[in-house]
This record gives sequence, structure tokens and C-alpha cells, in this order.
Amino acid sequence: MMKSQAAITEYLVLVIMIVLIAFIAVVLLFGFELLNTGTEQAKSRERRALFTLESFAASTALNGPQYQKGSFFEDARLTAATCGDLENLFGSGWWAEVRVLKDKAYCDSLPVWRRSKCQQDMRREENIVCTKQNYPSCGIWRFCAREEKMIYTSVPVNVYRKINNTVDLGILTVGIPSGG
Amino acid sequence: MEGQTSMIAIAIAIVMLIFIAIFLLSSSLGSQTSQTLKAEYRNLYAHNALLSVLRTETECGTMSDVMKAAYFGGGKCDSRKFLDSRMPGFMQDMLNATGHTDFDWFIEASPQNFEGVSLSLGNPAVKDAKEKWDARTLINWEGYQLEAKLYLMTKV
Repeated sequence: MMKSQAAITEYLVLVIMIVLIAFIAVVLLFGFELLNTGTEQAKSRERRALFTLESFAASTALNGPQYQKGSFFEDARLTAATCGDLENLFGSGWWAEVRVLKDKAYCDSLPVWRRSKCQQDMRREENIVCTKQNYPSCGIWRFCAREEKMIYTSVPVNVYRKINNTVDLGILTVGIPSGG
Repeated sequence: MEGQTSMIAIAIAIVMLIFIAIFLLSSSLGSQTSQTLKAEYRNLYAHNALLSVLRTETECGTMSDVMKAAYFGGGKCDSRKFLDSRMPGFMQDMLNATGHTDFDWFIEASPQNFEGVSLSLGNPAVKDAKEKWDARTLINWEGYQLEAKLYLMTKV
């Protein structure tokens, strides 16, 4: 009698253990898959942001023909380009901005009476979005629609001002929807 | 029977260990991919930062010309003074505009095919930092070559 009770208990313990194994396996597998999907999505977004940034910087459509190394945008090309044109090159689902960064310390080298106007002009030009109408008195080029939640990546570039024949420092920023 | 129970207990332990190992391995692989992407971005950033700064025009010529003049002489301005006074603000504006206010920098121009001392700008501690990344390019002047290097690191 005692022996059969012990055998039943052993079986019960065995069954519980097997169920436990199955349960743990299912929980771990689901948890693992869930975590993996989230991480993969985040990595894929990062990869895409970097790829778009690199493609933009190297694009022959925006870079002057004489600058093979890339990241040397010509202002006339930036002004002429549209979101549609660039979507044909880089696909859709991104936002980009090229912003001229004026060297404001230059104004400090001018006579005192000219400094204030110089700084004002630089600030104004830096904050005007370029269109075909106001070119070249502007310093920002934006392409495609900006979404509320995006991840942004920026790199320094140059902007060649064709009319003045000068080279300014610029910042290229690319945004990719963060999907959250 | 007791033997079977022990076997099952061991099996549970093995299954658990296998799952934990897979989980840890995949997490470490995932973090390696992220590190690779981060390194790729930092490399692109440093390269673009160095080239963009050197190609930018100032009232004394391009920064690259100013650097040449500071080393070999000549130029439109007092080049050494110009670099010392303007480069820090110039670099800081660029780092701020790209959202990297936490970066520190150091630029060094050293002779390649002739003897001479190096010209340096920025925080020299960046060059000796353990966690840093860099970009380099050559500046040519009448057969002489200067290697310009930009070192970046995250401020501690």
C-alpha cells in the first residue's frame, strides 16, 4: 500500500516536472522572440538612418561634379532638388535637412560699427529655408515630410555657394520614423 | 523510479541552461551589431568633420590653406594666431549643431616626408585617450606633405 502511494507520488512529481519544462520552454521562447524582434527593429532603423545619411552625402545629384569625395553639396543643386526627385534615389520614409553653419567669429574681425549688422545678416541667412524664389539668400534646405517621432543622425558637410564662389560649413541631418 | 525523477531534474536544468545560453549569446550578438553601427557612424562623422573643416573658406582662405600657411609661412593672415583663436569656436559650433556637445577634439598636423614639429590644436588629452576615434587626410604643398589628423572622444 505504502509502496504504491510512493509510486503515485513519484509519477505526480514526474508529470509536474515535465509540465514545468514545457512551460519554461514556452515562456523563454516567447520572451526571446519578443525581445529579438524589438532589438532587430531598432537595429534596422539605425542601419537605415546611417545608410540614408551615407547615400545622401555621396549622392552625385547633390554634390558638385568636381567633388568626388562627396559631402560637398552645391547650393543650386540643393535648391533645384525636390522630395520626389530624391525619393526616386533613396526610397521613401525619411526626412532630410542641410543647414549652413556660418562662422560668426568672422564678424568679430570686422570694425565695431559693422559687427552687429554682420551677425544679424548671418543669423537671418542661417534661418531662412531656401526656395527657388529666395535663393541664394538662405541657408536651410529641407526635403520631404518630417514626422513627429523620428530618430536623427547628423554629420558635418560643406555647402558650395555657387554665386559667391565660397565654401561654407554645413550640417546634414537625416530623420527616419522611429515607429514608436 | 527515483532514478527517473533525478534524470528529469537534470533534464530541466540542462534545458534551462541551454535557453539561458542562447539568450545571452543572442543578446551579445545584438549588442555587437549595435557597436559596429556606432563605430561606422563615428568613423563617418570624424572623416566628414575633418574634411568639412579643412575645406571651409574663411577670410584667410580655406582652413586647409591656413594650416599650410601656419606651418610653411605665407598666407593672407597671421595663420597661427587665426587657428588658435578661431578653430575652437568653429569646432564647438559644429559639434553643437550636430548634437554632439559631449565630444572633445584634437587636431594635429604632422610632417610626412620631411623633418619638423607637429602643429596641434584642441585638447591634447584626446590623443592619448583610450576610447577615441580618428580621421586623417593629407595636405600637399609644393611636394611637402602634412598629415592632418582629427581625434574625437566622448568627454568623461
